[in-house]
Amino acid sequence: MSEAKAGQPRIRVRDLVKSYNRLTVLKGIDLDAEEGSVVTLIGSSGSGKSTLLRCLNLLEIPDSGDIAIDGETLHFDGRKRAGGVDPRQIRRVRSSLGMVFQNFALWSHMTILENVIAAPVHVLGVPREQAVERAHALLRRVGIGDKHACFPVQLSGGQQQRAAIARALAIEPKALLFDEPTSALDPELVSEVLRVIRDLAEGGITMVLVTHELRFAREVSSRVIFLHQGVIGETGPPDQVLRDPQTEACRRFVRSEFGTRMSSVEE
Amino acid sequence: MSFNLDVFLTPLFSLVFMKAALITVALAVAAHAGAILISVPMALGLNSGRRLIRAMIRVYVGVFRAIPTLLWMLFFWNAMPQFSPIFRESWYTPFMAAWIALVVNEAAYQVEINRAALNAVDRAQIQAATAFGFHPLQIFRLVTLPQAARIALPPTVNEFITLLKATSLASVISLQELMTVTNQAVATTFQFQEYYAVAALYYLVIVTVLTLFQSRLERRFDWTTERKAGRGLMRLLGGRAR
Ligand SMILES: Nc1ncnc2c1ncn2[C@@H]1O[C@H](COP(=O)(O)OP(=O)(O)O)[C@@H](O)[C@H]1O
Ligand SMILES: [Mg+2]
Repeated sequence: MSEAKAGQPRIRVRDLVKSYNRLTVLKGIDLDAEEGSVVTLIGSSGSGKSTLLRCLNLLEIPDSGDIAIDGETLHFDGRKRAGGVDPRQIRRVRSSLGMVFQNFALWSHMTILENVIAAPVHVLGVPREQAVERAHALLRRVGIGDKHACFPVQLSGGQQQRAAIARALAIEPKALLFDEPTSALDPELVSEVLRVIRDLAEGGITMVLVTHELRFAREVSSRVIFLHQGVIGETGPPDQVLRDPQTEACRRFVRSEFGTRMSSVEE
Repeated sequence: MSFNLDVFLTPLFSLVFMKAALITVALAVAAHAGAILISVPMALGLNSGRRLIRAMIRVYVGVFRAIPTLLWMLFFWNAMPQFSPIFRESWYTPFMAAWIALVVNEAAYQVEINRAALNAVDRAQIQAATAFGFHPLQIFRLVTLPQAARIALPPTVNEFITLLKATSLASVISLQELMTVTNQAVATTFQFQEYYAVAALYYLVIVTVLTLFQSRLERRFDWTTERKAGRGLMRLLGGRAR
């Protein structure tokens, strides 16, 4: 579906290697996310999906490889501190990607509005008034415009995750990174979050999405990457990877996932 | 033998006792403020990876916990002037000596409260701030500090109450706080019941007012219960996000 929207690559990863102590989690990953595309990472637990996502916004510093965000290339050399990359450049990359976490990770002492304006105001230097105005618009867009004065604890999980999506959108990111955004939700709250993510995908926002919702992945993805044992086990259009996997490992994974998870956005 | 109400009421509303109460409160507030100021960096040091720094702070805490506050009062008032002429000048009053003794002593207790509070802050929220490109100092000011402060509030108020009562030790160095003026009054009048009751009432009122203030503060900065989440801590701590 979204292959037609493909343009300039927003995220380009080449030969990414990341290890923790002696465990090499990523053994040379390539990834391209074209502008407006949705790249979905699937794979069994522990296959390195979160690690890859966290490498993209440098929450983890890769051992080696290249990451380019919108043309700005970072080359990592694991022998140097912070991979040989300037901390200011690291923060700039981070503030250009909006991350959505499995457990929302909203700042619990701030209201929803404060959560949404914090990064624009304090990191990007957006004038307060402007940030507030934008935040209200974003909260309306994710369907919780009336919750701006609430604290996170007062919201349901689904509302919190939508607030977290608004927070990620508030920095006008080059891309959104989702790490299992619905895995911590009660089943009845999953669809409201997936609906927001789908709207964003259809609105042309570039995304890298880690999810176990394979039915949803098939609907929104431009490309699916199956991570297996530290490498890309299989990649291709969603209909191919999720319906007709070419490798035995991917076939087994897809079959077991479809067997256990059925939720999706009802049309 | 009977309780003389006049002897009780006269000092209760006298300038001498009110001023003494003021000195007591001022000393406790100033000492706790100083102790918090130096114990926050110490708590961060204890959490840091540097082994030498951790060891030094451990020694500090061990020493100041082991030695009675009374001894520190006497030491700072009587012994410091022997170390350096600076402590023989007019600025070095009993108030200053008592303040220093209480600060260094209280910091040793406050550091553990701070450390526990800092460690209790949700890692995921700190990570989220990192992911959005906040500078480490911004993360501390905007996320870690406000949350840790809220967690540390109840034990810190407890500490303050203990500290408030410990100011009475400054009577040994003649600081004109509540216990000193009480002792001076009973020494000449022998009206023990009345004057002790006056002092007791002053302490009771101060601590009661403080306790009321504490529960107000706790409710105001309560963002952990669904019923009523508080407002305004960001403003209190100088953060602009509101
Ligand atoms: N901070 C860390 N320290 C050590 N090992 C880690 C760390 N984070 C992840 N790992 C390990 O890396 C592997 C991949 O983890 P992760 O990327 O979280 O997988 P996934 O998200 O696909 O479930 C796992 O074996 C995990 O135990
Ligand atoms: Mg994961």
